[in-house]
Amino acid sequence: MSNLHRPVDQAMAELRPEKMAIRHLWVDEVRRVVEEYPNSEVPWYLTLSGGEGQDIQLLIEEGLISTTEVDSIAQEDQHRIVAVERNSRAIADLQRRFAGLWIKEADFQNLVRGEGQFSWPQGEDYDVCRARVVNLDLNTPLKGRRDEGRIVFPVLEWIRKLCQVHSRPPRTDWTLLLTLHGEAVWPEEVNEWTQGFLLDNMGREPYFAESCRAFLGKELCAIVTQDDGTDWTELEREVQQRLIMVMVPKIISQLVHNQGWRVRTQRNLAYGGGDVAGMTTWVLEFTSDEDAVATPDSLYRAALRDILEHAGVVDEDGTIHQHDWPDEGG
Amino acid sequence: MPGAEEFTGEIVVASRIVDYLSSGLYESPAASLKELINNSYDADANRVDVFVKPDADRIIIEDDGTGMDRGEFIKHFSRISESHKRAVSEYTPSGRPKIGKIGIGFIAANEICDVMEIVSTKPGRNQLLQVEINFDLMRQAPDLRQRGDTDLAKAHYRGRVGEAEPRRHFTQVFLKKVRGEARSILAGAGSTPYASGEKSLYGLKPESVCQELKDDKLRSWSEFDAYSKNRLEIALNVPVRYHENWLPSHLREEVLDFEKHVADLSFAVFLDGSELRKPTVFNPDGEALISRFDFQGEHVAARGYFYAQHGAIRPQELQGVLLRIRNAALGGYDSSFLGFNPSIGPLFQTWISGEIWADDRLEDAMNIDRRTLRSAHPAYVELQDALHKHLAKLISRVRTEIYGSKSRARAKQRAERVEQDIVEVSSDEVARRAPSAAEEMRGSWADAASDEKLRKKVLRKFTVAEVYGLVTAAAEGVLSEEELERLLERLTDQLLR
Repeated sequence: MSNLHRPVDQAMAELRPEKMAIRHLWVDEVRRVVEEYPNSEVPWYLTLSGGEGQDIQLLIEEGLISTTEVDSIAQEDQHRIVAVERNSRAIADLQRRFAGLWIKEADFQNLVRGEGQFSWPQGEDYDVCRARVVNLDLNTPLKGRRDEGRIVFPVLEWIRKLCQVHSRPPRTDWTLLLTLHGEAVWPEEVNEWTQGFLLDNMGREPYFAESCRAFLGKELCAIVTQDDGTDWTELEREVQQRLIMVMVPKIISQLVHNQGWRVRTQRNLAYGGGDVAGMTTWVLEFTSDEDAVATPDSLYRAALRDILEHAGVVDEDGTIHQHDWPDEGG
Repeated sequence: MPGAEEFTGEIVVASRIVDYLSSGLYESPAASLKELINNSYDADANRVDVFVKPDADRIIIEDDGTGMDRGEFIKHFSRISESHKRAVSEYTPSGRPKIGKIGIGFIAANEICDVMEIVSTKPGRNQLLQVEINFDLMRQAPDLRQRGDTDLAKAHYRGRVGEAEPRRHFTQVFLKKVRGEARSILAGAGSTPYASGEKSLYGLKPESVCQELKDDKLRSWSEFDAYSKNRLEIALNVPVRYHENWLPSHLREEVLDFEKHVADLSFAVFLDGSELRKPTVFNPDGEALISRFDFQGEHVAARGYFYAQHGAIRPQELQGVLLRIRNAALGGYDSSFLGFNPSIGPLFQTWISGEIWADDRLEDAMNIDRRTLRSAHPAYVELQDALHKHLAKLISRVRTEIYGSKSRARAKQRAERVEQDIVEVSSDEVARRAPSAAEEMRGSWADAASDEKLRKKVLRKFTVAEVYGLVTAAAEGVLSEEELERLLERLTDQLLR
């Protein structure tokens, strides 16, 4: 039995302008998919919306999901959108707000069969996991740990699995909307691994290295290159946010680059801070590329190049500001 | 939930009803849902929301009733069939007569799902009850479930009591792991044994549903998909209101007290956001009437109405008589009218529909399935006899008022045509020879269609012999013998043409 009252539902219910701006970015993605794949065999949208379902409400208001005379989800659109929710009370809330909504009762972690490398969703769970747009709006930091000798970030492993699920025939291009707390709170071994990972990638792709220097700042880059390890939590929150903005799309690109996916970071944004948690959010497009299997490394480098191209900040008014790159930085 | 107080236990049933519970007590998944909705009614709920769509893999029944605490849960569930539902009172605190009797309503859920979760809180209390009932025990062999001499284990539960907002009170029932067949039937796939249609009532407002039910082309609820058919069956059973225009207004006036009685219960059920109303909707194409039934017997009392119309009532599910005890229906309409004389029955059974509210004494005749009655029970026998006597009179009235009026209408039409013919003959044939006679003819037969006595005369048919007789009688004293002879010769020529 699940917890009855959850902070995540309160967080979802908040109508902060910056969150609304991000929800509109999500709607834009779903609109693009609806126009591009009006008769898609797989759902247009998978969401972890919480009991409030504000993103679903927005899709309805924007006319992307049709409703009946009594405002329930129209039959023809009932399998266009799926909400994944494990909490019974939140399920009841969602169902009351959106009668006829397809709700998969599950913990998303269980739905994708955890972080194990050799277990994947099966049957109906498999069908649920395939969607044109997957929105993992997570009210949690990026957690990392050592598991069987390797550093694992569970959320990012779920995304690797989603890529595998979307790879199965018929291969389906998809978009990931990911939101995490902008905090880098990891055990020492994860800190060490992160440092090495950044160093390695900055060495492989000069353009990325330049972007990192310009984006993360000289102070942070100096920390990355120092020899005696580092504790990211000592950094200011804004700097931690930036670190997460760099790390997450990079690790995802690395995890999936040999599966034939071209990964484009369409949005890489920070918001919040001050009295509320600093957040990071991404719009990542996964496009099938026939050449990718033969040349995974070139795809990976291409992915690294655009990770920071669309970096920016959503301010308290909900205005999106692209990162102000210095001339020499790009 | 930090600090939550946990408890566990086992639900057992007295063996006398085990056979029923284990071998399909309910005729359909919809019947199981009806039981749960009636439980909400017994909890004084004003609103029940049932969520089934899109796939019925999880069904939610949520009400705003008085809820349940840990003690009540254990009291009601620990030993099914010895329920304490009516131990304190036959009525709910708001005055509703309780529908449930022995507490098997909740257990009805085991027919369609493997796990049931109940979340409930009572008014003014800050305790939230959360219990998960697992029905896997009942899938085991009876000897493994034997508890003592008389009881069989039915399910086991795990619960806890947490904190709730004192202002809210509700019960949420989650049916989880709904079985495959029940899922397809409840979710509305067209190709189920229960319905074959493509039309759906999903997402419609009551007025739109009413329009669908009034459609002249609709012959049976089976023309809808299974979801909609279930919806109609549930709405027929539970104590929800009538549609606004379920009867033509002049007939509706005669049954307003029944309509008000149901409305006063203040009980509304919504299925996937769409409000259920009684699917009893009549749309007569011609004459129709209402006959009220009021019976006070030694063993039972009952009241209600019968509706009759010219032509068969559609959809056919409304043909027959529907019995209600404590506002809940016993199954559907009985098209045999409790076994009315089969030689007469087929003549009228398609054009009469009745709804009867019986008093509690009939409840004793009710079988545990809540849809059939024991035919030898004195209350049933007495009600059956009273209904059949009423029906005999009603049939006679219907023949006179509905079918009789039809034949009168046809006679009037024929008389109008004859009257017109008389006008034409008098104007063409007679007026040339005897203008004043022609005028008298028209005057004599004027209003022949509307005047009942004159209508019979104008529609009279005569044999040839009668024509000779009439002419001869009319000529008496007017024509000579010779003139009469010539007239009759010419008449014969005319009749032989």
